Amino acid sequence: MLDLKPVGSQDIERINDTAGKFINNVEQVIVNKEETVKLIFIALLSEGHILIEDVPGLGKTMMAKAATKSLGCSFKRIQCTPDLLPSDITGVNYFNQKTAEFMFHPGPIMANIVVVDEINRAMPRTQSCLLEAMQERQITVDLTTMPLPRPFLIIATQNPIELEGTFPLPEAQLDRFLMRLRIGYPGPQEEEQILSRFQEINPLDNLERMTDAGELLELIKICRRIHISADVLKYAVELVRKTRSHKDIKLGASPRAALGLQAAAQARAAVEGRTFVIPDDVKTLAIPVLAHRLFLTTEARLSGKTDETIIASIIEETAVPV
Amino acid sequence: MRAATIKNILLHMGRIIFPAGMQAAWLFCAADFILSHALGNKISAFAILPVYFAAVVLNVVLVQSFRSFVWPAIINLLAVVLVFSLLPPFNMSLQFIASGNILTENSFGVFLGMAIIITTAVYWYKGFRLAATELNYYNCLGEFQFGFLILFIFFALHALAKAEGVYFTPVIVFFVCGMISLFFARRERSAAAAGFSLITNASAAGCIVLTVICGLLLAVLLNPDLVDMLYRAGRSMLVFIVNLIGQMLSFLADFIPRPETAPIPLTAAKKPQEPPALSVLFRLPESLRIWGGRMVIGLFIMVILAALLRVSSDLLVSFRKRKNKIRMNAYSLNGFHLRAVFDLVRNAAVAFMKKIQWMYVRWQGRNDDVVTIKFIYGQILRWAAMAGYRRKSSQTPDELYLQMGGWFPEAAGELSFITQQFVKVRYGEVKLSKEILQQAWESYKKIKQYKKQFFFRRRRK
Repeated sequence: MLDLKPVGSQDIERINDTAGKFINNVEQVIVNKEETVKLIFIALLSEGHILIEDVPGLGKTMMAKAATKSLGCSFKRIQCTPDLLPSDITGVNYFNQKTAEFMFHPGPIMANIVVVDEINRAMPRTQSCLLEAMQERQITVDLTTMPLPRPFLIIATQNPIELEGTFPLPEAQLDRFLMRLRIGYPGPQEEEQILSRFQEINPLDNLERMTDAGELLELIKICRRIHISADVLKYAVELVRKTRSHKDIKLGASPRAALGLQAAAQARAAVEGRTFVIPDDVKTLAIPVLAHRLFLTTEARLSGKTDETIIASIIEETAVPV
Repeated sequence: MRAATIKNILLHMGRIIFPAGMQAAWLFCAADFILSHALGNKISAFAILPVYFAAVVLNVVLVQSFRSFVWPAIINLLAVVLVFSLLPPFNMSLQFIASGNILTENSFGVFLGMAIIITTAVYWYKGFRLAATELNYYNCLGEFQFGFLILFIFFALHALAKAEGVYFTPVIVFFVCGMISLFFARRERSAAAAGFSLITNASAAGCIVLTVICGLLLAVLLNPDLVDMLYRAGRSMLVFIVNLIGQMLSFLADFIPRPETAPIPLTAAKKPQEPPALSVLFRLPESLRIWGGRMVIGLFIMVILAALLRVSSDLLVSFRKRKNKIRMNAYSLNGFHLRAVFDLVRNAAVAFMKKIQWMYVRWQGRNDDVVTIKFIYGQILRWAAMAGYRRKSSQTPDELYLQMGGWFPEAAGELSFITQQFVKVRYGEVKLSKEILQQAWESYKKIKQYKKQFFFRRRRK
């Protein structure tokens, strides 16, 4: 077992401070979505990929762009279309006539943060080229494997309503996303605030960078050292295991989900200013981390149950260690 | 003395002294048993108690030896048969365990006694399964029902021995303490969000009462002379209660100043009345009694068959579940009636041992931050539960704190502080300083004070 150095209060203060700045910065663009922005930062600290799923016009892409701009890391955007090819994402080897040799032209995947817009519009083979990058943080082009820059995060968006010309994400890919987030419609006052804020200028243009890739990587390493007691770990595992034996679920959450839940809980504890994980961290993150990985039975779907309500019921049934 | 202190003493009496009194009464019963043996009565405590506990221990040993699924069920059945039929000296003592057999003076052999015991145990088991959902209530009910078992046996044995009223005193004390203890346990339980339903309470109580009434009625029908003994016993109990109330009233009356009155002239002492021959009412024709006995034996066989049917149906369900790879139930198969009786004994013992263990841990860890903060938080959980803010199993301490906001708004700061310290110790394994511990004790005392004030404020409303 690794002998981990305990996290000091200075480290926690640093994470807490950065989280506060990040949330404030993104909220200049996205009005009153503090919890969602916090979840994005938690996912970033867990080095997990994010899937933002909601109807058009709610600011999915705007949120992804605001988050990446605040981080000050290298950023690329991929607009997915049905004719997008895997080489358009990974890059290609081309023949340089000047030097008379093959050279690698990197694709947009070679960045710290990659926003994949409308991911479900890409064809399955194009979607599949992200699998290796998402899990192993490397790409293979013409038998050559290249590591991706660290930290490497994908923020993908998709529209769940529009089905024509889309290709649903396979389970393998969904499982590689740490969290699925929804933005939701703003309230009347929030909507008024959005209108007034975007009346003259786009606040996205004025966003400042709060951190850089090197610092983010350091914060990620600190988060991995956050203390998680055996009982809380057991509680998290129990939640994940219950998804596998639930009568309404055909395919439950994987061990990768349990790992993701642990990492996210550690990151949340740090963001909240704690040096240890509490069951509230696990409970709060269970829905965003686990819900999108479930494959419900036909009966459950027909009876109107959703993956989120099922996870909520599992949380309600599972005893918290006290 | 302030009213709050008196109230606190009374509450402590309710929670601690009454269950303790129940235990004392139980011990008194056992001592009474031994003394009656020493004085030359025909009832032997030495024959009953060791055999009873030996049967329980043997059952546990056998169950623990075969941890697989099918074996415990079969082995338990065999164990019951083995203990009660074959193994000397247990088979010799069987007639002593079967109180019904003693009541009927061996007229129907051991079967009648066993039928009464098994029927009683089945009823208790059903009531037990209905009610056994919460730790405190579970333990209390276990003691309470075990008390009924003892009550039933004592009732029969004392009636047989033509004992006078004084012998029933511990039984009455036991009964009253059990009722009061049950009331307090219920109060805690009913304060919960998912409280006990009226139907559950009524059915559990109904099963117990019905068992006692049916058992006595059966015994009276088969042995009409018993009715006179029961009459004497009932009268002595009534006299005891009336005397007790009278003494309490006279004790209270001494505090009230009253004018001098003329002395009441003494009347001639009443002669003790002979009990009416109630047995005549229950004297059935001989043939009817014989048929009654046969019916009881038939009932006994039916009970045994029902037990076998239950076990085999459980087995079938379990096999089916195993075949279809469905998860097993939390309840494992066991020796049916013996298990029910064993649970009652075990729960009483566990409750007592837990209390002792907790007191020891508390004493050992008086300077230990973990033990102290766990103790303080545990007490607050208990008070909150009694005030209707019981923690659901899926609730975290922070969620509970938010829920408790409506309990004592004025103590929100103290509650928050204790919750935070508990969370640090429990999940973060953080070492608390002496100052923090002192502050936690202060907060605990403040909450205790608020609780008392709140109690009276609510009462005044």
